[in-house]
Amino acid sequence: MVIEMDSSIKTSVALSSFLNAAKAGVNKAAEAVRTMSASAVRLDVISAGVAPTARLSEIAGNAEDLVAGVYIQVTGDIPGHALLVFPYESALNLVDMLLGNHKGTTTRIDTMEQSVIQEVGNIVTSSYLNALSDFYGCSLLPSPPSVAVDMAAAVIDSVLLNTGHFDDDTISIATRFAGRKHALRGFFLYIPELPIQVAHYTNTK
Amino acid sequence: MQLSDGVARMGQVVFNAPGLSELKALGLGSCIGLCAFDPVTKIGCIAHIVLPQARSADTPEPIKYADTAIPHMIEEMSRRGAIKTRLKTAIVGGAQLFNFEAPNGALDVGKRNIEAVKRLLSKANLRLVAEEVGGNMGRTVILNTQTGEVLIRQAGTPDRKLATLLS
Repeated sequence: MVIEMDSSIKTSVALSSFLNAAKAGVNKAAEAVRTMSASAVRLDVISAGVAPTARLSEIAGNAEDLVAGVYIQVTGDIPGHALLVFPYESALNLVDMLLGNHKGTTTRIDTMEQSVIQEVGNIVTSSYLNALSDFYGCSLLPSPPSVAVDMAAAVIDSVLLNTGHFDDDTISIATRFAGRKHALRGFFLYIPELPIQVAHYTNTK
Repeated sequence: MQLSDGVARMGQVVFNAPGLSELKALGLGSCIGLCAFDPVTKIGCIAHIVLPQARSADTPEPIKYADTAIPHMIEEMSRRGAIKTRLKTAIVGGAQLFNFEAPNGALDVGKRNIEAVKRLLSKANLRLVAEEVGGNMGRTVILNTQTGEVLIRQAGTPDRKLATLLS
């Protein structure tokens, strides 16, 4: 696990509490993936803390790799952005698992497959947000999920640019997960908008 | 900055060099790949522009923003021997992959990037010869400085030619 923090915010209670909440959220999300895929899922937090938003563009792997991404905007007390990304093969496997098909049945992602992936995005993100809202005692409202099947770099840049904070440092937590049984891989990224303001506020007080 | 692999990452520009005639910006979503080419000297570049406007004109990353990228790109091309009035440009990108609302009802970043780049190219009197922008699919753009050809690659489709930036 790599924890990277801006030194000016290192002491911030807000940041460390967010990271704790976020890790609880990630565990909930992993539980959801485990239940859905009925297989063991290994989790690695690949980055957590404060970093330039732009740096996150590198975490998805090769720029042109085909992926399925589910983006959910979060409103409420802590607005944020959730992105769940599956490599294309994993997305196909995931659809097979959830529809009870033999592995290899699904060979392309059309409208029906997209709605299955949307639903996975919903379940994973909601599990994550529930843990976060329990921790903070606040309300978090996910938008309907939006799916894109496209090149990894394009999926990531679309989300990062639309956070409106591309030039800033952001708190984020990125988790890679991998299921042993079904070749299920993916990663989950969450960028909250409020905690960094809280962190700065706490820091300058 | 010259990168040996010819790939312009976010906020970077790549120029051709001996042994390097294929320039690329990979997987553009809302970003813009700006190709510029002098067909006489065959000096070319791709700038990977991320946002419409820099917060300050002396940003350490001039290529990242449309408003600072274009003057910077012209200067660098001229320094390498390209003639500004001969430059032909093409733009690719500015898509919106996800269907969501931009904060505060603003236009999505892809659209704002397209508008900014076009406005600034026109202000700089640069000729925009070809474009493939907008939509909801990501794109890779490739500029071959030997032939002046601009190719586009999208997920699941073969490469296709957008234009040839010759006179």
